[in-house]
Amino acid sequence: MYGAEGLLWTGHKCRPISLTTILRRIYEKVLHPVLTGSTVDRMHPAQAGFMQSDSTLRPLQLADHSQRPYRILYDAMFAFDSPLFHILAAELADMDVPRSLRRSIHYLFFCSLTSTLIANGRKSWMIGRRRGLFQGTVLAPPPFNVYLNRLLCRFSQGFGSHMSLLLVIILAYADDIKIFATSYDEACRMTRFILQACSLLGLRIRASKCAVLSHNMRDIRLEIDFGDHSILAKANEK
Amino acid sequence: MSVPPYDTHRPLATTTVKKIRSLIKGYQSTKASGEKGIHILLLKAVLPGPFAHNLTTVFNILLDLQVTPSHWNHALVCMVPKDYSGLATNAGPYR
Repeated sequence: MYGAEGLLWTGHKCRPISLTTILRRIYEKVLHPVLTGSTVDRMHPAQAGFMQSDSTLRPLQLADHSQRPYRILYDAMFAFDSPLFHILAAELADMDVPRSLRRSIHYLFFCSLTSTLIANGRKSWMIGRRRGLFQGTVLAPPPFNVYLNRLLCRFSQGFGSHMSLLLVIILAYADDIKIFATSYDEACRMTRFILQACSLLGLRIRASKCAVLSHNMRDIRLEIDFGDHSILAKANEK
Repeated sequence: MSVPPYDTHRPLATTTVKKIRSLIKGYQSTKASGEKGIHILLLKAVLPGPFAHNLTTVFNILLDLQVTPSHWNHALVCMVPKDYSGLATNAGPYR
């Protein structure tokens, strides 16, 4: 893709925004509060993105900073285009979303989806979609949060987050996940967990855009293995 | 994947003309129109007429039947470049 001043852009450096009809967007605005209202109580405290009437800073205050100096940021590739419909439908049912609303979501997001890609002033042919949510639409973020919710719950259970103390060791700003680890070994174990869980959800982590940060670095070279790629940690800027 | 059956016990709450008017009025005028080319400014222009009543009626039928038109499920996908400098401290690509 050609950008400003003749710069060449690849798909990885772009955000695929879906433009739907204006009537659908207004209809989604009608459904949005109904969906968020029926899922908000079941959302993990680490959900920090697209949570209505909730600051993105709130979970950051709850994060365990002092004892967990190692942080890893994971970047999922084309995250909104990845959710598998059958998993999302099951998650919505597990969250006790009313059947009437699930039926409406089914027709809006899982049924006969097509897209036309626009690049360099040209339109592609119509592409059938078998997975993914329309990124940029009004109603896409809440189902995406629902999709990731189980991963966050299992991560917290597996790595001993003390929910009673309201400390979170993982944060999710929609598809951008950040973890807080006590040690290098734990950071590696957490990374393996995230990679495996994301793989089951059909999400692909792009190692080249992940970042490892640590307070405890002076002379050591800390590398986290992402399977096909390893990331060298950077010292936190102060 | 099967469609969840029609739910008669907990139907979706219907919407009102006032609500639809406020949603259209409050919608940002700078947003792009979709493939049909209907811009929000056009809807805002016809808002004082019977349009809002008619749209509310249609929406309430959709809410009652718990379905949506299939042609709403087509999207134009525009690739919007991210400001990606490669720095972990740059929040731009994460928005």
